[in-house]
Amino acid sequence: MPEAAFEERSNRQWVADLQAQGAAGDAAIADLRRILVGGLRRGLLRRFRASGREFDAQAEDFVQEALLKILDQLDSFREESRFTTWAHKIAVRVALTELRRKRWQDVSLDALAASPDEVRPMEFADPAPGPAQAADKRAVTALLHRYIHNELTERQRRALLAVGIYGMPLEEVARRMGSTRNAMYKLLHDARRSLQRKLTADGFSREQLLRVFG
Amino acid sequence: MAADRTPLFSRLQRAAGGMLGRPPLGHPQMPLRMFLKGTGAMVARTGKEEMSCDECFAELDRLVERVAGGGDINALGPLVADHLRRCGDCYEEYAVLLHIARTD
Repeated sequence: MPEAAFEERSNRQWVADLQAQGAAGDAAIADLRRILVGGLRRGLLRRFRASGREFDAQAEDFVQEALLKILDQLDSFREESRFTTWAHKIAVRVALTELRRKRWQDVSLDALAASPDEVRPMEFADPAPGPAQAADKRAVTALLHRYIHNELTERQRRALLAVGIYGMPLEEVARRMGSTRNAMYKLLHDARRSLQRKLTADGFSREQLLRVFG
Repeated sequence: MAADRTPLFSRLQRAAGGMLGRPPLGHPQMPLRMFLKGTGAMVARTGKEEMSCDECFAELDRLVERVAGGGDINALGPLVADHLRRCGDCYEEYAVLLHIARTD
């Protein structure tokens, strides 16, 4: 079915029409809704294990929620892109957040990481004679593993394992820890900094670490 | 030497001293050595200051339009590109938004 034609609007027209009362406001919302559903269809349908019809029903819900956010955040649109690109960005965030939540809804963090008491550093064999780099690699990998378990906080370790081993989205780790994705990123950045400091104190330079880990 | 036929997760679990807990159904886990290699690479490249997810999100629409128009994100927004290499959630949003922009 061909898509209905949309009224072409400049960025300022979009903002003005969406803020308008009456027919102009309703028409702008209806146009934006169709544009956003079309965008989600193009961007997400191939990632979504459902028919096009099932996807469209979900997409309508995502867009409804996105429209509320867009109308609420109109003042923060900086006109650094087309208005519709900015609106797509918000709709994509809404949709992916919900899809991640559904995909991971039955997985608890407890299933992904044992309690600290059960955590023990992996035993690595003593470096066998051979190229210095191979010995370096074994040593620094063993140290990294030990520091992950001995130097990080429990929250840092749980988040690192959930994201790094199981691929749990940061957003979902944050939800389970009563935090935000932004704060989780900071938590993991602090964890990486802490591990970096420990390895540096052991005499491993950045260049050596890059050579070992790539 | 005969191949170890113990399931991969059990071998990892044994090597990791039980730290992995139970595998969540339907969510395959990354082998421990790959995880350590990836984490080591991230640790080696960790900078003092890194862009946050919120800062990345604020830049995304502007950058995606330029990348869709043929620009190089590494040149247009090196801090954003750096963040996208480290954050799977933000990278997924970037990739979907870019696809939408390219097919507009």
